[in-house]
This record gives sequence, structure tokens and C-alpha cells, in this order.
Amino acid sequence: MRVPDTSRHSFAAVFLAVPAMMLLLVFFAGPFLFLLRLSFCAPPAGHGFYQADTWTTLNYTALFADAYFHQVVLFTLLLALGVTGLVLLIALPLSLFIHSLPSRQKALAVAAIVLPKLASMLVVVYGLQAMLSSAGIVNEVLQAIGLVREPLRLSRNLSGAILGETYLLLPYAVLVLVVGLERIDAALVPAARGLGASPWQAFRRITLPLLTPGLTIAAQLTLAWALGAFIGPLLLGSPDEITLAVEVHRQTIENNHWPRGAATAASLLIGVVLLLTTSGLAIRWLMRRSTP
Amino acid sequence: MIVRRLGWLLGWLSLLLLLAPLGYACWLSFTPDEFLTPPMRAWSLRWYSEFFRSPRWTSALSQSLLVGGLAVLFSLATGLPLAFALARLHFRGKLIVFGSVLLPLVVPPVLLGIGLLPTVQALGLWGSTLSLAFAHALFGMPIVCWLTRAALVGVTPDLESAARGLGASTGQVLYRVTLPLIAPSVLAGAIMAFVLSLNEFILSLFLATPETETLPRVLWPNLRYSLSPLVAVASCITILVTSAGIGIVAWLLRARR
Repeated sequence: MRVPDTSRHSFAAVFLAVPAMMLLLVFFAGPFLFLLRLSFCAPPAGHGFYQADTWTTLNYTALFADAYFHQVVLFTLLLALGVTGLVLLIALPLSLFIHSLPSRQKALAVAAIVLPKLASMLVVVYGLQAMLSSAGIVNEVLQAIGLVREPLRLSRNLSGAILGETYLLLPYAVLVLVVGLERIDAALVPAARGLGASPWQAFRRITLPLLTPGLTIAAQLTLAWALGAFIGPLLLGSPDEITLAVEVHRQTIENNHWPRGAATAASLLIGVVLLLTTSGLAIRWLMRRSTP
Repeated sequence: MIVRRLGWLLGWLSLLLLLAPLGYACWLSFTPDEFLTPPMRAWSLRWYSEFFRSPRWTSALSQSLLVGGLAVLFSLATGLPLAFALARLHFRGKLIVFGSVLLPLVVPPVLLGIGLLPTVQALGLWGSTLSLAFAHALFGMPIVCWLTRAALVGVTPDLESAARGLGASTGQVLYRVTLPLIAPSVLAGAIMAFVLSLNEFILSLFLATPETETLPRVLWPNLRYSLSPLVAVASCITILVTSAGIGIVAWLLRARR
């Protein structure tokens, strides 16, 4: 067996990793640093996006004193938590179902999950808008079977925003959970059943604990993306459904107040990171307590 | 038994429901009417001919294809070497490198977009097709890297050392043994990178100017302020390309096993 020569490898590795790291540095790390710097700049005077070489904390103090901002933060949090809960509630049974299918059907089911994930969010939302409109198919069916007399208002309100965001985030969670289920030793559940466990007991005592890492990743990913909810609330919600991401878009692209928008975005970013780390730690702590 | 049947039915029904918005958009694109009414008896290609006659939509389509092609190129150029390093070399901080590569896929894209615009402006790339391609490569590179790395790990080192033992040079081993074996996965990664770029919207919203509009970027104002069937046509075209891409990728990755 050849012993790897780490020092020589390191040199080659650096050489091979340079293009990718350059891309990440310039177009990923750079923008986030720029975002933070921008949030401390003075607003634009006349033309441009911001005044370079200025330092002020005014953007943040103005933001945190703004009652409207508090409202937006609260709405973003509630929407994200609600959507995450809804997504997990649907994704868990759906992924169990996909996992139970024979291999050919499973491939088809996974394709059915991947397509809406890869298709443009706009196209998904467009289809939803058309389906939910007052002349759309949902209302037609509801009226045809006599459930409602007047067309229901299903989009351009809170229910539209929630439904849209759930639609957009569901595929992610299902895919993560299906991968998580695939990793569980397929012999364990039949073994438990053979030893006399009921289907529910086997699920509760075998599948669920082993799926916890997958569930954690699914929940955290969904939460991170739900906190950044943008398309759903903007296109399927009403002007009342303003999330932080919508607010960032409005302040920057629409109102051209980039430092203020950057401060909003930075707050969102820090919020996402904080929520993910605390929830990660909390889950780890709970798991350690439940498994002595 | 009945419970199992019911679960099976419910499962497929929810999958269908997940696909419904896409199918509905495609269905609407064949309407003969001015409004968004699904075609029942009469189907028509009227909006398709209108789409391909409109310079704005066709130039957006070709711009999308161009950006996608460039994004694939950048994803391969950056993702392939890194995949080799991750699969074949031992170095410190490997996990950190691998993790940071996947990071662009989990960050909410709105946050990236608002930072990207001033960055691209400072680099003097604002309003260029290149800026869009680089931004989209952030999503393509991790996929290319991930798939290629997995394929490389799957190639048994015995094959390569056998070739070397039979007198092949390092370059010959790479071209005659390793590359042919990982080619399907690399191609799959390239297709995924293209599909991701074609459908990417939020970064394009921040970066595209009227001269560099991609297809989703042109969809956007139409979606907010009108619901013309032209949007359905554009949607249907991207859905078809995306499904074809998924089909090919699935086939490529299955052939490997």
C-alpha cells in the first residue's frame, strides 16, 4: 500500500482547487462582504447606488427604530415557521411513500419531485396563479361539485403566499428525506417486525430515530429558504404579505436605497445564520438527552 | 390492504398535485383565446407562432441558451479540477473545501443577488453576459464537482495502476482510462448546470439589464402585471427542455451502474 505524501498532494490540491475557489471568492464570498460593507454606507446622493468610502450606522439604527420593520420581521418569522411546519408535515409521509415504491416507480416518483424543483420558480408560480385565479381550474371544480357558489379568493392573499412557498420548498425537503431513508439499513424494519413490533412501533422506534439527521437537514434547509421567501409572497400574496426578502427587493431595485436594503439583507442573513446554529445546537442537545 | 391501497393512491395523487402547476401552464399555452382559459375542444399553436415572431422573447431565449452554455463551461472549468483534488488527493481542510463548494446551493438567493449587483459593478462586469454566466456557475459548479467526485471515487484504482503497469503515461491513463469511465457523470453534471442556469431567476433579476435579459427575466414583469398566454408558451418551452435534461441525466447515471 502506497503511503500518501501529503505535502506533495497539498501543492497539487491547491493548484486544482484554485479555479473553483476563485469563483467562490469573487462571486460568492465577495458579494456577502460587499453586502455587509454596503450596509454601513451613506445613502446615494444624486446618482449611483451608495456613497463609497463613507461609514455610518444610520441604516441600522433607522431600521431597528422603524415599527414597520418590526412588523415585517415578525411576519417573515411566522410565515417561515408555518411554511416549514407545513412542508415537513407533507414531506415526511410523501417521502415514506416514495421510499416504499419498487425501484422503477421510485425513479418516476423522484423525477416528479425533481422537475418542479428544477423548473423555474416563476413557472411554478405562474401555473399556481392560473390554477388559483377566480376563473381557474380549482374554482371551476369547487363550483362544479357544488362546494362553493362564488369563486373563492385563493391567491393574492395570505393563503396564496403560504401555498406558493410550500409548493416551492416541498421538493427540497422530500428529496433530502428520501436520501435519508435510503441510507437506513433496509433489514432493520423487517427485523423489528419479525420480533413482534407493530408497523407504528417499528416506525417510531427504528425509522424515526435513524431518520433524525435527515429530518434535521430538511427542516433547517426549509427554514433557511423560507426565511428568504420572496417569489411566493410577492406573486401570490397581497401587498400585506411583505417578507424581509420582498422588502430588500423593494428598497434596492424599486426605491434605489441600496444601503438601507443592504442593512435589511444583512439583518436577514444574520437572522438565518443565528436560527440555524441555535436550532442545530438545540436538536443535538435534545438527541443527546433522548439517547443515554 | 385497503389502507395500503388508499395510501398508494394518496401518494401518487400528491405527486400529481405537485406537478399540476407545470402541466397546467403547458396546457394553457395551447389556448386559442386571448385570456388564460384552458383549451377544451379547440387547441391552437397561435401563441407559439406569436412567441417565435416576437423579437423580445426570441432574443431572451437565445440569451438564455448563451448564458447557459457559458455557465456550463465555467462550471466544468472550475468543478472538474476540484473534483479530482477531492477524490484523489489527501490534503488538509478537505471537508471545509467540500462544504464551502456546496454553500451556494443552500443560501437564499435573494441575499446573494443583492450583494452580487454592486460586486459585479465594481468589477466592471455590470450588464455583461459574462456576469450572468459566472453567477449561474455558482450553482453548476457544485453539481459538476459532486457528480464527478462520486464517479472518480467509483473508478477502482486497480484499473489505473494496471494501465500504468502496462506502460501508459499519466496523461495516457487520464485520457484512455479515467476520463472515458467518468464521462457519463461529467456530461450529467454539465446538463444539470445548463438546466439550473436556464431556470435561474433571482440572480438574473438583480444582474440582467434590458440588453442581457434571460427568459425568466422577461417572464417576470409579464407575471406581475399581466397573465398573457405568451408566458405559458415560454413556461412550456423551459419545462420541456428541463424534463428532457432530467431524462438524459437519469439515463446517463443509470448506465453507469
